[in-house]
Amino acid sequence: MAIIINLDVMLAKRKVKSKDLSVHIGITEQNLSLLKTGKVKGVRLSTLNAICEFLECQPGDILEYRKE
Amino acid sequence: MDNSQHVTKIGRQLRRICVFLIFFLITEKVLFWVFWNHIQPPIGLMNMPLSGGTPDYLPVNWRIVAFIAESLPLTAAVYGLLMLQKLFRHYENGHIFTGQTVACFRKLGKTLIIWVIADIIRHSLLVSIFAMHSAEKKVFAIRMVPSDMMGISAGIFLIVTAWVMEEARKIKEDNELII
Repeated sequence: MAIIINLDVMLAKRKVKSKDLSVHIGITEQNLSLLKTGKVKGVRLSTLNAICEFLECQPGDILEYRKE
Repeated sequence: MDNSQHVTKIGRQLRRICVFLIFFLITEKVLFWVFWNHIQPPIGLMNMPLSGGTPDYLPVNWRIVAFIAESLPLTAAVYGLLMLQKLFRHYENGHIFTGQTVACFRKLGKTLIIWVIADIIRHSLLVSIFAMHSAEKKVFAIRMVPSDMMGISAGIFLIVTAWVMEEARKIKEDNELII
């Protein structure tokens, strides 16, 4: 897939732990791990909204399109 | 008791019934052919198309041949019951909507079709064996009755249902991967 998820980068920039983010957005750490590694089939807008709200960033900071 | 516990309990009970049926089927068939004409014939044998009915006496070697003919649908029936037992074991372990249960449904559908074909062959073979040992003229018959068509239709429906379940399972897995 050409969509790259840069959640790890944002977590490092904001110095936030994965566990804290998963608790805030209401998903399990396992699902957050799947999201970080790009093994998901899709992301709900509500989930993206919660991530951007917690990390104070834009969707473009999390999602990147890279032509294969 | 919640729904999953209910499914587990029913799965366990049905699995045990399948095990009992396997032993009962095999034992009944073996005993019938060993003690020929001293035991009530199984339902399938009661409809033999010979006006004189089944012969009073059948030599042992021909009873063995007849049992081999009988074992064609019996093998399919036992395999079907083993698949059912496997399916109910999955339900007992809480695996209700998985690839393994879909595979069980698919195999059950194919087994049902094979059982019908094997039963038609069995009937033809038994008619020939009985005709050789009766005063009636020698016959060879191939019989197909409405229940055979229903069996084949049910097998096809099971295979189609298994395919739909497989597609639904893939959609469910995809949905689970939408975070």
